[in-house]
Amino acid sequence: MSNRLILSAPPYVKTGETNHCLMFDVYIACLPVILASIYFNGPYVILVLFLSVFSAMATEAIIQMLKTPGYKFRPFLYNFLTNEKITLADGSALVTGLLLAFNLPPQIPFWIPIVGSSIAIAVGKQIFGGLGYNIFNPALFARAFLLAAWPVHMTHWVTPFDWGHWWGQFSPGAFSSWTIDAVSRATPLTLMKMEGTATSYWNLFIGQIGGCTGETSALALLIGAAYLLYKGTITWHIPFCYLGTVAVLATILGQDPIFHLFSGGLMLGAFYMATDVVTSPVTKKGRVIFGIGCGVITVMIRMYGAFPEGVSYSILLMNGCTPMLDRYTGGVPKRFETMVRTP
Amino acid sequence: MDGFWPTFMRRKPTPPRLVERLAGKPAQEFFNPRTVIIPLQETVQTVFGCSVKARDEVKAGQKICEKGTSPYALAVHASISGTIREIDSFFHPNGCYGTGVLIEADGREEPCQKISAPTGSEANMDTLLQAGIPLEYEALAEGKVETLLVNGTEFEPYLNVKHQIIEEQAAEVIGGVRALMRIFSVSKAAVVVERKQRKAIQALEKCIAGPQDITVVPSLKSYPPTAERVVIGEILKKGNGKTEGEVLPVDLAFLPAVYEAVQDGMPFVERMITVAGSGVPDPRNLKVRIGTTFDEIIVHCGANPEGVTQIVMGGGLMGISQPTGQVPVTQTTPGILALVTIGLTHGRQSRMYEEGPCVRCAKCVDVCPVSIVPTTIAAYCRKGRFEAAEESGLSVCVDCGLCSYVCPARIPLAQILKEARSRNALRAPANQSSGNNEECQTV
Repeated sequence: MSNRLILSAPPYVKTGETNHCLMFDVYIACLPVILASIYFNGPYVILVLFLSVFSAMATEAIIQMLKTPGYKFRPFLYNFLTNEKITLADGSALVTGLLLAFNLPPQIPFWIPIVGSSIAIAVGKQIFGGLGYNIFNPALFARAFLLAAWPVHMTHWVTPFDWGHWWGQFSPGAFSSWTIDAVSRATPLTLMKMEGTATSYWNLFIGQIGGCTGETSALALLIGAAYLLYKGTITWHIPFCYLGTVAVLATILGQDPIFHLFSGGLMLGAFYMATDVVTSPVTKKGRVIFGIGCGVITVMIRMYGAFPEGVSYSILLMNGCTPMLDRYTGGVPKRFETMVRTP
Repeated sequence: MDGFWPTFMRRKPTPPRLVERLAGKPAQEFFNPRTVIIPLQETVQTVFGCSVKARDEVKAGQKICEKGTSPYALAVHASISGTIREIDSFFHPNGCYGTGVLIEADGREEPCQKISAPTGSEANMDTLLQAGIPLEYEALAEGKVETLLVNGTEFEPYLNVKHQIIEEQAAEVIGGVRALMRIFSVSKAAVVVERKQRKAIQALEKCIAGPQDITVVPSLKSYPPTAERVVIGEILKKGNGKTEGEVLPVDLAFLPAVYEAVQDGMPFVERMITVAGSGVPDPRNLKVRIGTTFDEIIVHCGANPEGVTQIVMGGGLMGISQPTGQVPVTQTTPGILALVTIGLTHGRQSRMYEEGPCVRCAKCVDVCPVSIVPTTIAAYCRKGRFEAAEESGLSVCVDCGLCSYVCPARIPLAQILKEARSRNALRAPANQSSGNNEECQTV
């Protein structure tokens, strides 16, 4: 045997899984949500999704080109996917774009997803150092920004099946005022909070209600979530603690827990937003506390806050706590404490 | 593009096992190698006294050397009969050079010589030492050990040797445990076997029948050999209610040898290993003589020696990569992997398989058998903050390699942790260096 042997450190087996596989699982989990949204809110949703995703990826590519000294611009998609410095291939920008679009009202003016995605990637992610280093979920960061900047546009809901004018929001007038005559409709939470009217469970479950693009159909969200749980891309800790806390607290406070679980962005938040791997704790204990914290803040905002919905803020607040949770729950397990050598 | 598309099937957090493919096949024998290398030193520090010289004729089972210090000096035997060609420095599969004896076979198939020590009911520690079984004699002789722990779970994905030994030699395993318990007056023993291995559990329970001094503990998971003391001790505590005294792990592969030494006075010159890997067309369990070189075994198993790109002592998760095929099987070698990794070498693999940023997916945390946070510790180590890493549980790590296995960002977590651990172990005061096995000088 004269051939040269490879020397390497163990292990000699590896999963074929990469970061992109994790992201790809999220794309797949988003599919039923997208289909449900198109069914209820019309084909304009496709444009919103496209603009949001494209803008997110473009922003990421541009920022990384600017960060790379001596980068020579070549306008080929292949180049974007294979250049070492441009990490579009990890798919995180695509996921951010998708999730941001899920958080926008269906008949949003076309420029809001563009601005939102750029903010999400530039300020929410790249400023911290790119994938893996951001503190806040970029999509929720952008949603909070948009909600503060254009509150009227961001809370203008439409009745399901009222598809409006297909390209209505694309007209120049979209910059100044609403140009379509879609009937405005409040979300179930707003109805509950402001007028005290309840929505039927069936409509809540299948999504025939007013609300953001991706948050209305609990059925579609649960199908996607089941896939994510099956694949092991997310674990049960965060979503189940989150939903459980909301249900328990709502019951204690004399509310209808089922209504609270299925209304608003809770399903989307619990399964797709709070479980964002980068901004949630790594330890199991930390994840449980994270979920419970999100649940408590959500119920508090829904019950006593000025906003009818508190999912995005609760997750953002808990994102801020993640480093602390990791620090205090990630130590040496008690039974092995004797093995630690203090140098 | 590999690594771009996800598989739609659920990925298990532990690698797929070979057990199913090897189950039911009896172990084969390979007792006539052309040469053997008998290592006399595991590490460069091992003291040994050699009683033979080059061009001596030796017989199978003849004692050629004593290694270790006086009360616990271990006999080393020639495993085949033949001529000693040289006594030189050879590569030991642990990853260092040490003195060894190269014996050229003369082809005579004589029965193995017996050891010169009391056997049967008069057997004592000297029998085991003369048979050359590398147990932890100091701990055993102290008399503090209350429970002997035999890890019968196979942690390595490629290996199957432990299950095979239990299935084929259940009586010898139990006999070995009983012999150890009698010699060192240990009151309890436990054999941990995976719950799925029903045949093995049945075989063991059939042999135990009678005095209930040995318990068979079925476990859901399998445990790495380095973590036996910490992890399986926990199971015992759960199962038996309490274990007050010390728990001492014993390698399962030594037990048949203990039984044979005590019963018939046979020296420990052969053991069962698994030969597997992508370069071996027909993976199998083999009974080989101690000292048989990896090259010979791999060729015997039908591998193309020119095509093999990596030879590993041990399994796919914790094995040690060998620089050459001319390394001997030792008493602690559980198996050999011959891997063909053409197309996976650096520069030729998919870009997706290059190391990426940690996305904190927590897969390494969920899979860690000792519940530490490998990603944080590795980040500390890479920044050179070894004290912080130590506080986060660096020394608790058992080197099982599962974190590297699952990492979707392909960060070599296990490698970083191992490197930092050996670094910290070198700097730590000598009296506190319990629980580390890094005395071996790496090459």
